[in-house]
Parts: sequence; structure tokens; C-alpha cells
Amino acid sequence: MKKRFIQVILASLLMVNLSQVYAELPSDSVYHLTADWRTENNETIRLSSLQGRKQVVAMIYTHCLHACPVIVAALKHMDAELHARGDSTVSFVLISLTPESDTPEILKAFAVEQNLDDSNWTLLNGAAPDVRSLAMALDIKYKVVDGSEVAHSNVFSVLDEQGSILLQAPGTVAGALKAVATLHPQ
Amino acid sequence: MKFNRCRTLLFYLLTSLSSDFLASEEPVMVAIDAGSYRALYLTKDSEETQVDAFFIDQLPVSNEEFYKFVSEHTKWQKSRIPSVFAEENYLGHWVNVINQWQPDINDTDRPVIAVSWFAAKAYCESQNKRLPTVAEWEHVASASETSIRGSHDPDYNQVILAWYGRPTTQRVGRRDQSVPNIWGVKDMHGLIWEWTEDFNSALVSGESRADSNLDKGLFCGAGAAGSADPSNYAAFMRFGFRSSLKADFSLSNLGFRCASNGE
Repeated sequence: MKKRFIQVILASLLMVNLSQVYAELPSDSVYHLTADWRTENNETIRLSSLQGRKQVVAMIYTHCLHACPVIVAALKHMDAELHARGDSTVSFVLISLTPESDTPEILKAFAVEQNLDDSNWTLLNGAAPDVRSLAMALDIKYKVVDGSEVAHSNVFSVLDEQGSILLQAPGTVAGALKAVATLHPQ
Repeated sequence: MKFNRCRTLLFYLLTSLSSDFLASEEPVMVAIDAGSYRALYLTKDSEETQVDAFFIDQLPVSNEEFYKFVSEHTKWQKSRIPSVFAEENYLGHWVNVINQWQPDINDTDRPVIAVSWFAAKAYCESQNKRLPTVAEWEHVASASETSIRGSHDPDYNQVILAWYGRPTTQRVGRRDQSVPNIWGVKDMHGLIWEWTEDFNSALVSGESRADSNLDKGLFCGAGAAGSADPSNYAAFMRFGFRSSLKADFSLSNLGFRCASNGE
């Protein structure tokens, strides 16, 4: 009986907390987008569940030969550079621009192949209209060309703990280093 | 006495608004045949973009229809929409009546304007529709009253350019006052500019490394000279306009209509 009571209290506390979190989202937060996404581990999440940590967000597609390997390499470099500075407050999110072919399984294989640390990197698959909305919110332009190739802006965004855009930089090593320097001014 | 009259007026206003809004009919959609569309900035030899058959709203969405939408989907109301989805001027032409934003009674049948891309998309999705793509929109817009490829008629460009040249100080006109094009679609030109699903993808070329070249194709004289149809100046203006937009913009001459794959 007592246990049950504690459970109810805990549950209601949790709900209050959750509602506070949602109520507190700043007006310019990307996390106002309410779509469901599937992770590389086939879990269903909303972007708002990424709250609480800074997130580096890039849009890619796994069979891309040109810009995407450069973005992913740049972000891995950024990850290492942040760790070297003792910063463990930043996570990384890669969102597929070709959700039909980049299934969670393919994203998982990509993450393994690229040696992406599971605890700090999330890869997301979503419905095409939701991918478009997110790209609009991040001001990323893209266009499907020749059926499967995607031309897209080569940029990544750093979101603060509540999903507001802190900065955007080109998806190159130089851009990544610039972002690190902005996060850690010396 | 004065108070009474005021109250009567208010009552009239509220009842007429609500009954009008609730009684509004489903918007008519028009079937568009499959076709092809050549992006302007491509050269004459370039491949055309295939457009599959689809349906498009006969008219742009009205203030009345949009008011009904925000009444049911309150997160898109002017007072509640987060800034990530719309800038300050969102529905800026609506009036505040007892803490509620609604269209001026004279505007109910005019196209809704000052809506962001996010809000336009949400509206269409609430009706199980979507925004038309640029290719779809241009495919419909290139028809004249008598021909599917109206851009070859001498009058077609004249009429559109005359509208583009008119200053936008006046109130947006009423819908459904113009002659339909050959598909039966109305008001593609002459009232407002319209959102498209992928409005900002024109600047992306075959691959992202080559983006800078495309600016030239769109805006330079040299690019225009090599393009598929340099005489279609109106379409160039639309491309220039679209590429300057961001999805949260809420402009006083920019509205939308919806499309769908099925009726």
C-alpha cells in the first residue's frame, strides 16, 4: 500500500517535471517539432527527448559519396577535440535525408562502420515531410537528384540544451574547429 | 444605449463569423495531368522534371478557412505559435477581438497571407493534403486560359508582369474573380505569391560542392541567356523570390494552396 502510494507520488512528480520541461521550451527551439523519429536502435523518440545536452545536428545520407563523409569526419574530429578539452556536454545527431533507404538497420550499420560511439551519437530516420520540416527549421537546403542522390547544404548546427540554435558552421574540419573554439573561447 | 448597440454589433459579429466559418464548404480540388517541367535555369538540352498526375486546390486558402484551422489547432494561433515556426508578422493583418485574433470581416474570402511555410504545411496536413512542389506549382502556373504551356502565348507574360509591377500597398484582392486556366485552376497569378513544399531547393545543384555555380544560372544575364526559356521572365522572378524566403517568413503578399496525390 505504502509502496503504491510512493509510486503514485513519483509518477506525478515525473509528470510535473515533464510538463515543466515542455512548457519551458524557448520560442525559437527546434524541439517544438513534434514528429516521431526512429533511432539506429529502432527506438521511437521525439526531438524534445534530446533536451538537457548540447546537440550537434547534421543531415546526411549514408550512401552519399561527396559531402557527407566530410561532414561525418568533421563531426568526429569535433567530438575528439571536445573530449580533449574535457567537455562531455555535447552529443551528436545525424538525420537521414533519404529515409526510405536509410532504415534504422542501415543507419546502425553506418554507425558501426564509422566507429560512432553509441552513447554519444544518435542516428535518426523519419517521415519525408518531417525531414523537410526539420531541414527548414535548421535552414538546410536539399533536393533529391537523379532519384537517389541528394544535393544538400554542407552545414551542421549546434543546438543548446533546449534546442535553440547556438551556431551553424560548414561541415568541414575547419568549420568543426571553429565551432569548438566558439563553445570554448580561450 | 451606446453599450447596447455595441453589444448587438458584437453579437452579430460573433454569430455571423461562427456560422459562416462552420458552414464553409470543402475546397474544390482540380485534377492535373502528368506532365513535364523544365527548371528555368537549366539549358535547353537539359532533361525535364517529370511531374506525376496530382490534385491541387482550385483556389488559394482563404482567411476564413485558415481561421477555422487555427480554431481547431490552437498551437498555430497567432498568440501561441513559437518563433521557430513563424516570425512576428504572422497573421499580422488579423484583428484582435476580445483577446482573440481573427480575420477582419471584409477579409474572410480573401486569400490568407502572412503565414509561414510551417503553418501552411500544417494546414494542408490537417486536411490530409500537402503543399505542392515547385515543379507541380510551376506546371499548373504555366497554363494559360487556352493552353497547357501558356508561357508561349504573348499575352500570358504581359498579364503576369503587369501584376508583378503593381505595388502591393493595396489590400489583397478577393478570390475567384479571375478566369480559370485550362486546368480549371484560379488565381495562380494576380493575387498573391504562394508557398511550395520545396521552395528553397532551387539553389541546390547536382551536388552541394557546385552550389556556387548555380547562383549564376539563376541570376546572371549569362545564365539566363543559356536557359530553357529566357522569355519567361515572370518565372525567373518567382525563382528569385522563392530563394530569398525562409520557412518562418510571414509576408503580406505570400499565401498558399494545398495539393494531394489523390482527390
